[in-house]
Parts: sequence; structure tokens; C-alpha cells
Amino acid sequence: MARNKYNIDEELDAPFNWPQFKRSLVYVKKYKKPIAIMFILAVIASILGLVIPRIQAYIIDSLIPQGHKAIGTIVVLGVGYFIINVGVIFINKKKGLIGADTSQSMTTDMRTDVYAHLQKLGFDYYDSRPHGKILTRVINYVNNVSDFLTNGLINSILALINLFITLGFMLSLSPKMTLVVLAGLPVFVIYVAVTKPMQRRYRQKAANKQSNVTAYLSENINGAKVTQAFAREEMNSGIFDGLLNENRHYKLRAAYVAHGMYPIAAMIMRIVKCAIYIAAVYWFREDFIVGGMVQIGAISAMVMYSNRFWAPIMQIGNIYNQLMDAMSYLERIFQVLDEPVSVEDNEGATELPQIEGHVEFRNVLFEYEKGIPVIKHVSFDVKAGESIALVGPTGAGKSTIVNLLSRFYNVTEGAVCIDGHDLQSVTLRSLRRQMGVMQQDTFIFSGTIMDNIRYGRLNATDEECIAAAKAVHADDFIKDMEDGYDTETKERGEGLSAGQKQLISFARTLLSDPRILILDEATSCVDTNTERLVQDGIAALLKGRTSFIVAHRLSTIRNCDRIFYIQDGVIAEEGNHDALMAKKGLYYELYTSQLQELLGTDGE
Amino acid sequence: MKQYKWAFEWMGKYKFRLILAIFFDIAGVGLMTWEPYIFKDIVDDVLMPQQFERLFPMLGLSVAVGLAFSACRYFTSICAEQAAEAAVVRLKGALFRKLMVLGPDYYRENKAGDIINKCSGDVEVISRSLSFVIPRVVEFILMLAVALFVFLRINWKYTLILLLVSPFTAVMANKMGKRLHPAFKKARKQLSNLNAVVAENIAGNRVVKAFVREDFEMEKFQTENQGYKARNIEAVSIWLKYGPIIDSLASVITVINLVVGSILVIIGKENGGITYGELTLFLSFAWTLNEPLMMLGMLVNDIQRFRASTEKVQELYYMDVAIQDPEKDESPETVEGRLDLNHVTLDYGSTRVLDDVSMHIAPGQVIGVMGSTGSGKTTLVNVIDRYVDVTGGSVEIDGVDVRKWSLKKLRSSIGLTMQDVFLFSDTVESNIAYGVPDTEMENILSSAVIADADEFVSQMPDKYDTIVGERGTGLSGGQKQRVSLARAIAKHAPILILDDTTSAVDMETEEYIQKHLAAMPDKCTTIIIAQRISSVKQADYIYILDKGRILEEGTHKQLMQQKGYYYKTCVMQHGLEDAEADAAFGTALQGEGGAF
Repeated sequence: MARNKYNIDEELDAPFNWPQFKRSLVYVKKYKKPIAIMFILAVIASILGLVIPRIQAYIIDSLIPQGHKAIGTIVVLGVGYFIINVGVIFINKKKGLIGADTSQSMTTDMRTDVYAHLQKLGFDYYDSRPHGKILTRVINYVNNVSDFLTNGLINSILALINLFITLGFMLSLSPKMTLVVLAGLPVFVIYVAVTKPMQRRYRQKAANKQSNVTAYLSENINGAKVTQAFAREEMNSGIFDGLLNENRHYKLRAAYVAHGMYPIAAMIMRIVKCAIYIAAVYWFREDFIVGGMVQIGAISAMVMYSNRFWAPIMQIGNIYNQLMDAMSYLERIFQVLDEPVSVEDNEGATELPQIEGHVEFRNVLFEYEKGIPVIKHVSFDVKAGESIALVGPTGAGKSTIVNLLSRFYNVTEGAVCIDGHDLQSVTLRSLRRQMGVMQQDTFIFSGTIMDNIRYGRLNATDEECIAAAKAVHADDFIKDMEDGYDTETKERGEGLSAGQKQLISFARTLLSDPRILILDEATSCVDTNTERLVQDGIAALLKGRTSFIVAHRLSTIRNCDRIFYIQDGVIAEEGNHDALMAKKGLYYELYTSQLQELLGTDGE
Repeated sequence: MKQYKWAFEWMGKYKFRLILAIFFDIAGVGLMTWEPYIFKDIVDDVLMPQQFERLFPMLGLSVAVGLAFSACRYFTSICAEQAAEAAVVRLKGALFRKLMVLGPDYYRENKAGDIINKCSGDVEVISRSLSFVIPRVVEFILMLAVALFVFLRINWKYTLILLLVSPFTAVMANKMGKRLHPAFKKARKQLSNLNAVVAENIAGNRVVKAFVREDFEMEKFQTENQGYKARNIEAVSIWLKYGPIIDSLASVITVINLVVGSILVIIGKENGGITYGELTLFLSFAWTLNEPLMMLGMLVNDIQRFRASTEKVQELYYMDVAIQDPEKDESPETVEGRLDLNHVTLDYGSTRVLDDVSMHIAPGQVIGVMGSTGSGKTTLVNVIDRYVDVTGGSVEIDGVDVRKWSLKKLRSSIGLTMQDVFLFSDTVESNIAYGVPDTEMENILSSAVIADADEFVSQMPDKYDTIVGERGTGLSGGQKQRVSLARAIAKHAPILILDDTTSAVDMETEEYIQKHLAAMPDKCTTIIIAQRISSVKQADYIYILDKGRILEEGTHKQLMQQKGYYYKTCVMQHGLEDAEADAAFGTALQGEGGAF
């Protein structure tokens, strides 16, 4: 299992990945219409914008020499100039509104896809990487990429459109001069080409280091108490500083290259400007010196066009940086989307009908990692309504067996059947809905206690939730709280004791009214007295339901119909308490050693 | 302003980089304003009189000026970037240190996603706007000044006409700022909600799957996801409402320039007008008036974001830390491990969680603590390790009140395993060595052996180099508990507190662990909190807690004879009925387990 920790970079080595880029356009395609409108608005704005230098040139070169009689025309043209300018501004406003809506919609879509896929991924995915790194993908990377897709991508296309329109205007003014303006282009292209690989490397590095920083931060927030208990504050702060400095190192390296873009372009622009003057005076005199007068308006219009020509190029240069970032983020987002779903509905899977609860393991072999079997050819048959206790040393495979029952993992070989239906042939939803699983790790959501219980059955009434809480004797402590069932629960149930969390989770599971109940150490942190009360409370509810109980306490185990003693991934012994005691095997040893030890000391 | 000063301090010695950035920026503005003059001269002195031989030297000068300008621009960005990054590293580091000392209260009240946002996104906003906005502001003020100077020198009436527009721009920019601030705040708040929902979904993925709640989770997520979109669009809309007005006002200046300028050329220099060259100067300087006005909106935007983020970061940075180091560390040099709780009382708000609890534990003693769920067992640990201070009474170690110990010394003297096991996503080795990072491998191995973790760790493909998931995901409950126990043991602290450490391990393993713990060479004071009789039975002395009070105390034998809570628990745990229990204990007293 490829695991990842805070200081391991997730190496990615795709420079510009065309198929990946094309794939990202899926998100763009949905918004063809608003994007088309944006383009149209952009073209209009750009053409209008380009008329402006023309007006200016006309005023300077043609009207001013006419003297006083031209003043009226100048004023009229000035008003026209203003109206066009304001028109451009408001077209851009409209474009901006559409753009914001589109980009936000794309972000929302992309995030929804990533999140939806995460819902399908199995335990193994979540178990094998820091959660902070998953979170970053859903939130930050998506924000970045969609920002690029709208602002970056659309702007660069707009910039290109601008570029060509400007080119057209320049050509109409003076084709020869246009060549002069274009001469600067190769220099810029060479600069970009040379710095590109450096740029990419530094940016990727910086992104990796950033993700390490977030992962470490997130873990330290969650584990702050442990850190304090082990007096590791200083050391961890030092580690964090180290991660920050690494991050800074690459961010600055990237910046050194990226910030060169504008000054270089500005420099080229300036040289081009000088070239325009030289060309006008020496090379193209016939066009720019008319009747002994140097056409200053035409020259300055050309300079303006040249500036307008270079502006989009600089913009594209900037977008290129964004593009590099976006590509590495996209890669990670697609990595999540491409993460194979290990457990999913097989083709032709059918709804599992209302089950009785007859469970069969047929020669089940299971390995988390290839070649290391955890469950070794286990077969058993549990009748509907039977209660089974799973006992045995830690790590023997008890939790794995119950996890296979809900198909949280797929069996490697053999089959798990419920009421004769192979679990591989039924839909996950129809299966899990009928299973009530209470896992070793309890999880409390932020919300209220009531919300947490209701998580088991969303349409349950308050009374039903309270009844479930009463059955597991959670009602007692909940009632004692200031706001009772409306008491707010914090993330992960901070503020509740481990036992209380277990009881709430237990109530939640019971409320889901499952046909098969799986209790994996459901009450390990609950005191014995309460546990006894819980057992009495749920006895009636358990009647007729198949149940699997993983436990260490003998009191819990003894009352089950049958006991499986699991060792090394096989069922070493099975039978009811009396039968196993009579057998004088592993279970007998376990039971007597416990009792013996207890009574032994007592008798001393 | 105060906020800027505060943020500025985080640059440390890199403050000078920022000053350098401003310097380059000013130089850049100077060079930039020089350039139009060169071209004005080209127009007036070279092109109009057609004295082209002077063209090359002047263009050469223009290129030189341009080159210097580009260099200034580059160094402005680089210096600003360095200053920003310095502030990021220092501020993030400081916030991290703060997080390390904040107590459980803070973490109870604040969602992890929110905290992460403050420490990353908000810090970035602060340092960026600081190092890029300050030079920008200086640049604008300077540009305006230069433009005013240039225009005033050429024609003062004309300049006044141009300035008519400015008050309107200022009003609009101010209005926009007032509305943008709350909009940004809302957007950030919404982002943190979104963050929290996703973080919780990731952390609770097992429960989500077990209850087939993917749809429900999707709905929860969509509410926040769509909400984030809406808040963002709201902010952009405000921006787009005022921005165009400000831009339009700016374009008024350009028009006045063009129209009035042209008329002035027609009037002619001799009649108080201007030359062609001066007109080109006007036109090229138009943007030095325009740009600051147009950028005003952007700046307001940046400043609002800066303010919103600074508020959030400052809130965290200045958060009160309830538990602090004493002024003077009075802890003993060598810690023996005597532990006294003298009439300890603790109130959380109006609820009393610990009520007059007294315990006196000699060095090396093993103490068991049992009690019902929520009876205050874990709270007891919290007052000893000083996650919370007692309301009344005192906790003393070696006769010194824990409030007089330096926190580091105190916590180094206590090896603790927590009920809610948290492992870091790191190797098993690093996890065990968490409290003693420089320890030898031998210590790690021997600690793992005592905690009975060695066996299963050795079976893993990478053994002690295996990386476990965050919170120890991927390990079973019992395995996690054993790694966390090994982690506590590896510290070799004089006091060892085991809070429900073996609840998920089987009895045999527990017995193994107990034997090895007892055989540890350096005797330490041990407090075992548990639900199982088997966990505490061997202890020298056992306390039973109930609703924050000590209900029963004594040795296993004494408590069995009392036939109270402890006895009942014992009987129940072994699944015996009352009659059976009498029989069992009866025969047991004769040394035989013959009841079966």
C-alpha cells in the first residue's frame, strides 16, 4: 500500500500534458453559451478600443493643422471618444459578470466531481495518505484550476483575439511598420522557451512543498494534545519551520524567473518603439513624411498599437505561469478522479431484496496486500437470527471478517453470501442499508447529539431517536447535559468521553434498524455496569436479527449463540460457550485464565 | 494602519528588503516619467524641424532609460517577494507555535479546517498585500505628484480642469471599500464552512460508508459548495458595480486631455497654448493620472482583504493561553514520582466534573482507576498533566504544585497514553520515538516489546519503517493502542498514565503487557484507568470514581469484600449470574475453578 506522510513529496512529472488539458475542457464545454457571449463582448470591446488611437491620430495629424475651424469637430470627436471608452468599460463589466458566474460554476462543478468520487473511494484510499492532502485537492487545487480555466484560459484566448485585431489595425495603417513591430516577437519567444523548464520545475516543487506544509499543519492541529503530552512543541515547530523554508526556497526560485517576464517584455516593447521612429524617419519616409510634415499622429498611433500588441503577449506570458501551476494541480485532481474505486457495484448488480440474515462465508481468502493473506480460506454458515461472537488475539482478522460482510473490501477468493446472494452480485447500497455496523473507531459529526443519532435513519422522528438512545442507555447522560439532545457536538465529538461517543454511535446504529448487526468493540470504553444495561436494553431489539459481535469482555461473549475463536486468519474453534468450555481448547484457556487469574489473586 | 504596522513587523530584517523594493519602485517611476520627455524632445527638436541626425543619440538614451526601468521593475518585484515570503515563514511559524501551546478548549471550539485556513490562506493574503500593496501605494502617490508637477508646469488652468474628476473617484472608491469588506468576510467564512464539511467527510468516511449516507453527505456539501459560489459572485458584483464607474471617470481625463490639448496646440505656444511635443507629453502622462485612479478600486479591494485576514490571524495570535508556564520553575531536579491530589475540585461552567478528589500515590506505586462512563476519569488525567487547572485543591508531584512546574518539565515527567489514540502519519519508529526523538533503536524495540507491539510490527512488510496513516488508520484499534503505549513507555518518565490503553486488546495480550510493565527496570508511578477488572486488579490500590467523586477505594481484595460497585462489575464482567458468582468465588477460594 503506497502510503504518504507529511514530508514526502508526491512526485509528478508531466510537463504539459495535452490529453489532460483537453480533458479539463469538459468543464468548459458545459458553459459554451456564456463563454461564447464573453468572446463576442470581448471582440466588440477590443475593436472599439482600437478605434481610439485612430481618432487620436486623426485629430493630431488632420484636424490640428486646420487651425481654429476644426475645434468644433475636435470636440465632437472627443465626445465620441468618451462614449466609446465608456461603452468598452461597460461591455467589460458585463463580461466580468458572466466570467465570474462561469468560473464559479466551473469550480463548483469540478469540486462536486472530486467530492462525489471521494465518496466512492474505499477505506484503503483514506488510510494511506494524510487527510490534509486530500482536503487540499478538494478545496485549494480546484479553486486554482478553475480560476485558470476561466480567467487564464479565456483571457489568453481573448488576448489572442486582441492580438489579431490589433495586427489587423496595424496592417491597415502600415504593413511595413507592422513587420518592425513583429520583429521583437522572436526574442520574447526565445526567452520564454529558455526559462520554461526551470519555471516548471520550481513551481512544481513549490506546490509539493506547500502541500507538505498543509499536511503537517493539519496533523499537528489534530494531534495537538499528544504533542503537548510529549513536550514536542519546540521540535515540531522546528520541523514546521523547515517545511516552510523549503517551500519558500522554491517559491522564490520560481518568482525569480517569473518576474523576469514583464521587464523583458517591457524592454522589447521599448526597443520596438525606437525602431518605429527610426523606420519612420529613414526607411519608410514616403509613408510618414507627407508634404514635408512628419506624421506625428500616425507614428504615435503606431506606437500605441505596438503597445497594444505587446500587452496581450505579456498577458499570455503571465498566463503561462498560471498554466504551469494549473497543469500540476489538474494532474492531482485527475489523480483523485482516476483513483480506481476498489469496491463498486459490479455490472448487472441487482438490488438485494429484504434479507432474513442468513450469512455464509465460502472458502474466503482475503489479502490487503498481494501475497499476505489476512483471512485464510474461511468458511462458515450463520443462520438468520443467530448471534455470533468473534474472539481471539488482536490482529487475528476479526475486524476484517466483519468488514468483508459489508463489502467494505472485496474478497480475494471465495464468496460471501447473504440469503444465498453473492455480495458481488448485489448493489452496495441495498446491502449496506440493511447492515448496521458499529465500528471500532467511533465518529461524531459536528451538529447536535440528535443529528448524530439521526444519521442512522434520516427520516426518524425525535421520539425514535430518543428511544434508540434509551435502549443503549445514552439517554441518561444526554439528559444531564445542559441542552440535552440539542447539545452541540464539536468536530470528532471533542468534549464527550470515549464511552459516551460509543453510546451515541451505538444508538445511531440501532436506529438504522438493520437486519444484520455488526458490533466491532462497540462498548469497549463503556463501563461494565452501563454495558450490562445496554445489553439488557437491546436484547429485545436484537431478537430475530443476525448479529456479529467482536469483543474482549467475556460477559459480552458468553451470551452469544456461537463463538468463533479466530487466530491467524482462520476459525480455530467454534461452538457455544458450553461446548467450547468442554472442548478445553483455546477458548477454554482464554476464559479460565481470565477467571482464574482474577479468582486466584482474590483467594490469596 | 495599526494592522499594517503589526504585519510589517513580521518581515523581521527583511523589512529592509521592502524598503529596497520601494526604493527601486520610486526609481522606476522616475525613469518612467523621464521617458515621455525624451520622446517629447524627439518630436519637438528632431521630427518637427527634421533634424534626424540627433535621432540616434536620443533613442539610445531612451533605450538606456528603458533598460534601467526594467531592472528597477525586476528588483522591485524580487525584493517585495522576498519580504513577503519572509513574513509568511515567520508568521506561519509563530502561529504554529501558538497552536502548540493552546489548550484543548481552543481545539474544542475551533474547527481544524478554520485553523488551517487562518494559518495558510490568510497569512498569504496578509504578506502579499503588504509587500505588493505598499510599494504600489508609494508608486501611485509618486505618480500623481509627478503628473501634477508636469501638468502644472505646462498649464495650471488646464490641470485644474483635469483634477475636477478626482473627488468623485475618491467617493466611489470609498463606497466600494465599505461594501467589499463585509462581502469578503462572508466569502472567507463560507470557504471555511466548506472546508469543514469536506474535512469532516474525509475523516468520517467509514461512518458515511457504513450508513450509505453518500447522498446525504453530497447534499450537505452542495449547500456549502453552492453557498461559496454565491458569496464569491456577490463580492465580484460589488466590485463590478463600482469599478466601471471609477474607470469611466478616469477616461474623462483622457478625453479632456485630447480635446483641450488639441485646442491648445491650435491656439499655439505664442498665445499661451502648447506645442505638438507638449501634447504628446500630455497624452503620455494621461495614464499617470489615470492609472492611480483606476487602480484605486483594486487597492481598496486589496486593503479590505488584508483587513479581513489580519483580523482573523490576530484573533488566533492573541488568543489567551489558559495554561501557562509559571514565572519560576520550582520543579525538583530529579523526579521521584510521588503524586498527591489534595481535595481536587474542577468545574466546567456550572457543572462540577471533579468533586473533592484526594489521592496519595507513593513513587513506584501502581494505581487503578475505574468508574462509569463520564465519571471524570479522563478529567483526572487532564488535571495531572495540566491540560486544565483545578478549580479548587491542588495537584502535587514530589510535593510541588504542578502549577509551579515548567510545562515542559512536567509533561516530560509524565508518560501518557490517551483514550482517543492519535498517531501521526509517519513511520512506526518515529511514532514510538515521538517523545524522545533522539533515542536509540534499542529503546524503541524494547518499548515495543513491552507494549507487545513488536510482534505485529515485525510482521509488516517494512517493519518499523512502515508508515501508518493519520490517526493510525490502517492499524486495528488494539494495534494503535499498543503503538501509543510503546510511545509512552519509550519516554521512561517517572510517572506513567494509561488512559484506557488496553480496551481494544485481548486479555492475553493485556496480561502480557502487564507482566512486562511490572518487570520494567526503572520503577515508575503508574496510573491505570480502565473499564476492565483485569486491567486494574493487579494494582496496589484502586479508586472507583462516580460523578466526579471517589466512590470506593482499596485493594482488589478489599473492594471484593465490600461487595460494592467493584464487586458487581467483576461479577458482571465474567458473565456470571449472582448465584454462579457466589459459587465461583466460593470454589475459587479453595483454589479451584471447578464451577465449570
